[in-house]
Amino acid sequence: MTEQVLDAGEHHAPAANSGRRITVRPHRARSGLASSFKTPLWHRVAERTIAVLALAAIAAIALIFIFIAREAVPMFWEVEFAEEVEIRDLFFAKEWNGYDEPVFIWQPVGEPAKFNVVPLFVGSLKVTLLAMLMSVPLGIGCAMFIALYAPRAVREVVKPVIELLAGIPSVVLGFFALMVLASWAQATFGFHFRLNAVVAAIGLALTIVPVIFTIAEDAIQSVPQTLNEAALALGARKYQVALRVVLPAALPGIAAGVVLGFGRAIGETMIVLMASGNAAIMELFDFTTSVRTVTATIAAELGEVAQGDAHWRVLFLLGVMLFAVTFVLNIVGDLAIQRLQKKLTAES
Amino acid sequence: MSESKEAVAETPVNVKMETQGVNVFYGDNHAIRNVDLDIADRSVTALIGPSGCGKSTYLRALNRMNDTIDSCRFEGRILLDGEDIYGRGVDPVEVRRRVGMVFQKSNPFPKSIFDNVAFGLRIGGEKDKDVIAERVEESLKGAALWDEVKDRLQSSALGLSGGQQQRLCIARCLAVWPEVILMDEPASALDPIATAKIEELIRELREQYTIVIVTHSMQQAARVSDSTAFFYMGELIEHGKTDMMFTRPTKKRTEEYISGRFG
Ligand SMILES: Nc1ncnc2c1ncn2[C@@H]1O[C@H](COP(=O)(O)OP(=O)(O)OP(=O)(O)O)[C@@H](O)[C@H]1O
Ligand SMILES: [Mg+2]
Repeated sequence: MTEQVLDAGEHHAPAANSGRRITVRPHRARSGLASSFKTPLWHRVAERTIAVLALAAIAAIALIFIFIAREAVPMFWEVEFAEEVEIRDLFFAKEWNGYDEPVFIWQPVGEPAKFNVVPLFVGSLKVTLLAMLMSVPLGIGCAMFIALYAPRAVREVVKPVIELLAGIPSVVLGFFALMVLASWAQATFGFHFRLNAVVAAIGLALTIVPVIFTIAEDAIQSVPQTLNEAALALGARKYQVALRVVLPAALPGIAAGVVLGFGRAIGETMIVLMASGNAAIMELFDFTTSVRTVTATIAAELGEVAQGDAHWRVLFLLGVMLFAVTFVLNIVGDLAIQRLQKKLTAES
Repeated sequence: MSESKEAVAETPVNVKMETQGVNVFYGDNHAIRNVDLDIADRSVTALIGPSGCGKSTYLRALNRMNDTIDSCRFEGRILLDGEDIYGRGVDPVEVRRRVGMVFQKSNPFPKSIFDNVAFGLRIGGEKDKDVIAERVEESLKGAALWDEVKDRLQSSALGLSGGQQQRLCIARCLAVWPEVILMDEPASALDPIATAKIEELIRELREQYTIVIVTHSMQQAARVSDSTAFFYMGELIEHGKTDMMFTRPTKKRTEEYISGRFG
């Protein structure tokens, strides 16, 4: 501080008028070309490195997409593929021999093989939506309770336990869903099919709740205490503070958790493979029938098909579509989060 | 100004809040020690004292805000219009509706200006849109902010300047029609002009409200308050008319603090 002050004074009143000794700081050495305002080399190197790493991550994702797509797209011109499958049958219903109406069927080992992707996406969406329907309220509710209501002792036990749940291998959860949950659900709700969309969704929820919980809890914790106090001082009750102040302020963070949970849910493979029954039944609204998801199909079938044949290509097409859906939903989610965030920060 | 101060001195003052034998602890830390203090109705009481002496703690005891701190323990009685706010079966939420508070750092909600002021009404169960709109306008006028924001009531409160935000917090507090307003260094983060506005506002509000204000500025205490209480190490050292306190304090500590010899 003092040095600065003296330094500033130096320009106006040179040392002469002061009894104290003023140390004159040497001027910065100027090398011929370099301006003294230049960013130091080391910082430039660091910034470049970070940029390169970030780009590498993006490039990796792009490359993955390209490699998957490369296996799928030849279907549009390959003669071998056209002999076996018509492209339009992948997406539209067809009246196959022996059926009396157009149907959506996934039956790769049938004769002829039937590759309609619609029932698979319907299956994925059903399980995912159902799982989200369970996990979102549960995850956010738990987060609110733990962050705002639970005594510290409870919080210190429950939080790590729920977070630990996220670390359980999905094959273990799948096993649990298959053996324990399925029997319990059938006994309780009287399902006709033992393994069905509901059981798979409950199994999935076990992995998604911790994701949503953790992120939502952090978001709620990071709402400034001053807002709590402001509301309390205005005579708000605790639940009013929670619902009208904390929840809206934490909404962008909570939404981020939901988006991440959704990504987890639609991409989850092992649990749905084990607990969904895996029958590709085209049924939109009945959640008690077995379902077959996109991910489970890829996982179960890719290992057993010959590289480059029609089935192989269709499975990669599934991969491309799943990738695209996830990507688009993530972007939509991010935009929504940004809008929420904007509403909370200053701007007219 | 000086007229009204004399008026206060002559008429027998009504006591709005009575503090009797109040002790506040944070765990083992004895933060407020046996404080007795009467707060006169429709007047401004300033709390002064060195940092850490317990001004905020005492202030927050007056509307039971300390209840929200786990380690905080209260002993004694505080009467509001003769009724003990720490009595059995008293709902702290009801206390806070009558004793409002403005914080040191302005803390508007990340909502629109209108919604900020309407917040207290809405949580209080007021549904009528016209009543809310009317009260919002009245409160913003009361906080001398109306003219500056009347054209942008729906824009975010966070877009206001620091001084405007603090006046918004005052408006938000006025909207629920409190009887007492507690202010903890309401102008300490503001520039001199914004501070002057807040001080002017406080003098106006005194006509209708009982105000208790914590301040570190002797000048501010002298300018806005009718009576001043000096706290030191958790104890109330001296309390009296502001004019008297600043001209002829009876205790040595008070004199030392006011003349700036410590603190
Ligand atoms: N939330 C808290 N938890 C524990 N101790 C606290 C808490 N708040 C205040 N204290 C303690 O209580 C005592 C009084 O603090 P208080 O904040 O009331 O002082 P103050 O007079 O308002 O000081 P300042 O002028 O710096 O705001 C201090 O010793 C402080 O450490
Ligand atoms: Mg304080």
